[in-house]
Amino acid sequence: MKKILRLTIFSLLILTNLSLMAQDRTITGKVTSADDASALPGVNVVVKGTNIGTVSDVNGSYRLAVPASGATLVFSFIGFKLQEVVIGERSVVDLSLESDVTQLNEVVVTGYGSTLKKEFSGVTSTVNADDIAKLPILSASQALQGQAAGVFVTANSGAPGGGISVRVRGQTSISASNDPLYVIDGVPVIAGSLVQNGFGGQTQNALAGLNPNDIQSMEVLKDAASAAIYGSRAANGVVLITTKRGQKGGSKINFSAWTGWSNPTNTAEPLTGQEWIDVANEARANSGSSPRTNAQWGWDGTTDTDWIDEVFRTARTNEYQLNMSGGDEKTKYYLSGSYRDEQGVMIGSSYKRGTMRLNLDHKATDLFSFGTSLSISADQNNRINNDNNIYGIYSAALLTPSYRAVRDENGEFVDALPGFNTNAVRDALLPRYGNKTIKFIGNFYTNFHLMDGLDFRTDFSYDYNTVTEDHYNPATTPQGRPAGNGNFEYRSVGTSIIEPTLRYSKRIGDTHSINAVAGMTFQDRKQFDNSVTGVGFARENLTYLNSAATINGGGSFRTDYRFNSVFGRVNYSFKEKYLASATVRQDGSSRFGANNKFATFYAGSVGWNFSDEAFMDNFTWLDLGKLRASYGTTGNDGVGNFPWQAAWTGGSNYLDLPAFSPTQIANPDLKWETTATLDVGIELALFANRLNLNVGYFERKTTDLLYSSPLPLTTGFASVFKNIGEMSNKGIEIDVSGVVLNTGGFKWNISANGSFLKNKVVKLLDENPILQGFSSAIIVGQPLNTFYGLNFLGVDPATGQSIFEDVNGDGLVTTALDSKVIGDAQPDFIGGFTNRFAYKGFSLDVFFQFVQGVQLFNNTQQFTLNPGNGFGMTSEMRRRWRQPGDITDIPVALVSAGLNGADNSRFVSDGDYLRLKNVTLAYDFPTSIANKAKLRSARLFVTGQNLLTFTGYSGADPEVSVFANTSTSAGTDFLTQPQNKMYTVGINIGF
Amino acid sequence: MKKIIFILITAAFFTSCEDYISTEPTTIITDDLVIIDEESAEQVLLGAYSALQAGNAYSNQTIANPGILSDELIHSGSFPTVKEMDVNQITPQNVTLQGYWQSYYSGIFITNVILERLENITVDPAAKNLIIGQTKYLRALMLFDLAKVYGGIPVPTSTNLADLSTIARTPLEEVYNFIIAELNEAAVLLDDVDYGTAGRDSQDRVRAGEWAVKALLARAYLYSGDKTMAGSLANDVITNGGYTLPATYASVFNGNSTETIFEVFSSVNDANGIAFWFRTAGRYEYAPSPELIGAFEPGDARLGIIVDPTGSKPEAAKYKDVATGTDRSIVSRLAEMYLIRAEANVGTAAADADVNLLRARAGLAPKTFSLDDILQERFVELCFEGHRWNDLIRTGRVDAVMSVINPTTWTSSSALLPIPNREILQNPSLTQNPGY
Repeated sequence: MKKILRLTIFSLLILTNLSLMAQDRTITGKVTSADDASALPGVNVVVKGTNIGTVSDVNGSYRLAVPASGATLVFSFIGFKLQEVVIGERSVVDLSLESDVTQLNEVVVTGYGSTLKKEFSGVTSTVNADDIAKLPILSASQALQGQAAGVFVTANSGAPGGGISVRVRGQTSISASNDPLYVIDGVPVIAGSLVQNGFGGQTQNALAGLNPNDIQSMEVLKDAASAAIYGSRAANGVVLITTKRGQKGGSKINFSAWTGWSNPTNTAEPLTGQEWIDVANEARANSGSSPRTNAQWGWDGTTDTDWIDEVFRTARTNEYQLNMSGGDEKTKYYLSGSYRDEQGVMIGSSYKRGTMRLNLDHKATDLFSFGTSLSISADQNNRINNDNNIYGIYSAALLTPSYRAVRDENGEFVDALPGFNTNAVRDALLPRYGNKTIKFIGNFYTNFHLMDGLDFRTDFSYDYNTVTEDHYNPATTPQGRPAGNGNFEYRSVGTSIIEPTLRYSKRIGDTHSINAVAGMTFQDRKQFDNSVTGVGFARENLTYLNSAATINGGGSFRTDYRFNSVFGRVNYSFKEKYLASATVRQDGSSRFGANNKFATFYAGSVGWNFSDEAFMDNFTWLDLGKLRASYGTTGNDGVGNFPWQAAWTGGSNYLDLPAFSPTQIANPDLKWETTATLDVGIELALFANRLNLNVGYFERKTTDLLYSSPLPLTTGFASVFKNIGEMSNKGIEIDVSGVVLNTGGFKWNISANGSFLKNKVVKLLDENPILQGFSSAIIVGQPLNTFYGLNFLGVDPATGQSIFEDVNGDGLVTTALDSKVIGDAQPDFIGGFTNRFAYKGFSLDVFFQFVQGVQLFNNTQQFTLNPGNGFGMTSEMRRRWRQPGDITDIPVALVSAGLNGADNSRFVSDGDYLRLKNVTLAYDFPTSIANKAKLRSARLFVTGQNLLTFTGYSGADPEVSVFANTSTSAGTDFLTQPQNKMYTVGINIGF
Repeated sequence: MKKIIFILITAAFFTSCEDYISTEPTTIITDDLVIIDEESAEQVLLGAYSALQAGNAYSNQTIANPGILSDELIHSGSFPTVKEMDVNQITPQNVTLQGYWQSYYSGIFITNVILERLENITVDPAAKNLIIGQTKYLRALMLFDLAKVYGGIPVPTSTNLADLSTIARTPLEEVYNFIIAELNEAAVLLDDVDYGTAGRDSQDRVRAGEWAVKALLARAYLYSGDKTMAGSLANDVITNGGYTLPATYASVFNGNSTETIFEVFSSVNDANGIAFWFRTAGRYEYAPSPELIGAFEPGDARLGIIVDPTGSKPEAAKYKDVATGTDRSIVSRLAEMYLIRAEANVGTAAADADVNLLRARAGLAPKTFSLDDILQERFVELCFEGHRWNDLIRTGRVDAVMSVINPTTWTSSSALLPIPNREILQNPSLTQNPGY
């Protein structure tokens, strides 16, 4: 807190000068809404023809110094009509703003342009800066969670900077990427993970380089009419991110700072040391072995370590944001910087990020303008081993029995987990797994205004990412034995894009409105990977590879990907009543087979604003009624480079001479996956826009599914890439928002969204279940991420053994013949709802997010409920079967669990949850008080993240996925770090 | 004017771009270019050798599985799939063993590519014989390593995808006949081959020559039940191969020993992981069993190969380099030839003399040998080299020995491993072994 204060004061000192301006006369006034006479805070009040302006405070009041030359005030506010008022001789100018019922000014950002919302017949979800600013999130994609209908977001683990999977309207692909295409200010960027070293299943998130506070809006393009302009990369939806740009008017400076405290949402409860020994001995007795003495176990009789407690901590996060924006008729700018310093809740992990951005627009002449968006970010992620990995810290903490000590009597770390020699505390603190990512996105555009309504714009952009992984395992850790080892990896991915576009926009009277774009894309991506490893470090403080006795590995690698397309789109609106659009795009990609280099995608949509028809005139309560429908195709080329060629690699060697080994079988027919999407929907605005309702139905059918089709291993290969199947996704999306109460200065808004989703694998070459991950399978007729295993019916009270369904009725239970579908990780219903209360300067936001109809495979329990393997056990073991007659769901303790430990429905648990994702309580100081402190605005806020979670899940946290970003085995919890809850306090000040 | 410029600019951009998107791979070569001449064929041959270096082959499983399955090694690590092998209760889903199967068939595919494509290019006949001879040896070795644990196995001899996808199992006896025929052919092709320049340099022990072929042939005859031929081949290697026993047992395992006939090369680049699996400085997945430690007679110098045999963490020290993996896994060495010749001649003074040579090196007094005694001698002499499991099986002792080690889980069908479940599902022509 002290740090924040210091920074605030410092900033104040620097910036005080800026508020000193020549003042001639002072105008005050109050802005109210014409609808209900309520005060309107946040209205922009600008002296016409100048940069001088202010914003109305929570009471709707404003106070503005107007120069002698200023004659007119301009009042503007989103959702209301812009109004100009001549000042005359008045010193008080009150104004009642009329709401913009037709929402004429509301704009939807679309690919290569934007369009008026009323004239838009596609389907998008929008998340605005206000919604993002509330969340103390690291990455933009987290802001979509529970906020955008049809978008399913899962943070794969609670590790800082960890991977996040985003699924728009289910999944269209088995093998290719299911991540949406991210487009930042018109530049399609690399998202997903760029690290070369995963720790178990956990990856990183390349989008973490984008400062969420720089985002003006995120638009998720969902239907084909919106997304088809991105052709072969759009099948998973497109997330258009628009960053903040300068506005005409005075310079605005915003500073904010917050600090937060994080803890895991929930953790497992281990057995005590004594309990562990008792269960282990009971297992030996049940298996015909004699119990061991404490000495034989290596237990001193007292040690009882709570390993989970040892590795978790209350973690601090601090974040600072500063941005400056403004502009005049010709030039507009937005400049921002941020710094975030995040401790991991698990010892040894931390994350730091700094970002900078400059957005600049300049109008050189009436015919020529240009501009740029430049952003650079650097992050340092100090990772720890985790997840699906016995050396993982959370893994080792869960799996080390509590009778083992962290340190010996001399205070030295010991090898705690028998057989593995891990020690969760030591192995978190001693190794170094530093990742440094630098991300640069630069976009430079020129725009020639060729003639009335016609512009020729060219975007030149470069997206450059480097990831440096600097790892060292000291000899004192199991992974560093015997002499210490280190590796250093460097990856760079650079993508250059040139996109010339012609844009035409013309309104002919009140009748015709045409909006068209045609363009091309040339994209060239080059990726370089380098790595070197070494072993044998003589001194503890010499940890870089020039101190290694032997450099025992290394390599370098390059791969190219090129992409080229032609695209066009026309939107037409007749009297703002009848809407139509058509889109076409042809893509060529180096990734695809010789016989299928090019493909064409198209889409069309129609819309009808029936509320504008004369026969609707009597329905005055209906402000807007729109019916819409769209159909079209999009593609997915998210597979690796060159998957279609039969190939050999020179990577193997013998006698230290180069040697060749085969890597893949040819398929020259390999091509895009194609998804055809049908959308129909209705949009309503009722009761003077007090209630907005948007309901849509979609059907998506994906054909030519890319799949690494398994081959018998006797062929010499495990699989071949083929276009083999079909998948369908169907769903309903609902968005509702409304003003519940608006009286006496008290305002209560609700916005909610929900989507029902049904995913199904329709056709595959192979009718047999294709096993994936640990217990997942791809099965025709079932959704992706289906769990497949034995059906657990209960524990036999007589024997304590598991009873399984004998599916084939042969009297025997075998995993091969009696496995069946035992759940799926595909949610049926997802969504979120926000209640927003405002009174005077106070506002309270309460945001819940939920997932319903999902199962998780708690693979962790296969370890922690199995006494035979020497691993740590959790409290559920207390209700194990002990003697005939016991009725329980935990089988008898045995040294070898046999079928009790097989993949079965005992480990499948409901993963439904309702989560209090965010609570924000904020207070905006009245302008009068802020002004006394020479401030434009001041806001104090406290927030809570993930404060409450209602779930029946058997593990620690229901938001987990060990196989991060896989398409086919989501929802497996294998020693996965739970999510965090966080409290923050902060301030926001404007100058 | 402005319009014309605009149209020209547009036309320049809107042209077809097939060339733009044609990029060449930089890290792989396409299949049609992989064997085009002698040099490239040699590189693919080295690729086939390299297949032996896999962790699923001689860098772990081929050496360790026969130990962990039998009474030679116990499970001191954590892999449930290895645990299954230790208790002889293996599921067809065992992914470790699936990896073994996969690695070997992937290696066999390379050998078949060489044998097929070599016919399509022009190569000097002598060079061609050399390549074919080594390739046939490698294919025979890989088939042998599979047949040892699975019984009858698919025997691929082509690279045709459709054929390989539906291939059925060949009965074990025919597999051995095939291996023996192939090795006999290789022995002719590699007759008198010397890879080295002067005498036996390191290349001769890490590439298959005449004696590597004959040593494997001796073992193949022994396993298939033809002890006479086994003895005769072993005799040929002992008499004419020019290999000698070094004075100390421990020195055999330092690489390039005078006793070694064929071992899998490994340098820092290859990083043989075998020591990692055996040693406490590594993963320590396997430990010498009490039965093995008890099998050493008092005073047997060979017990020195086990570190801390009476302590809580005994470890097999034939493999040493955990950090950089330069250990060479031995496929054939002279001691095995003496033991095969002795087994063929059991009950004779000559047989006793063969085994006593090995005992003398271990500092033990000479004695006479029954078949049981020779097996006991094999147990200690060849420990941690991947022999024990099949010594028990081929002599019919496996039930008797293993039912004591794993009384609750052993059944006689445990002697053959299950064909990986994945293969049974993918290829309807494959049948599962009994008991799975």
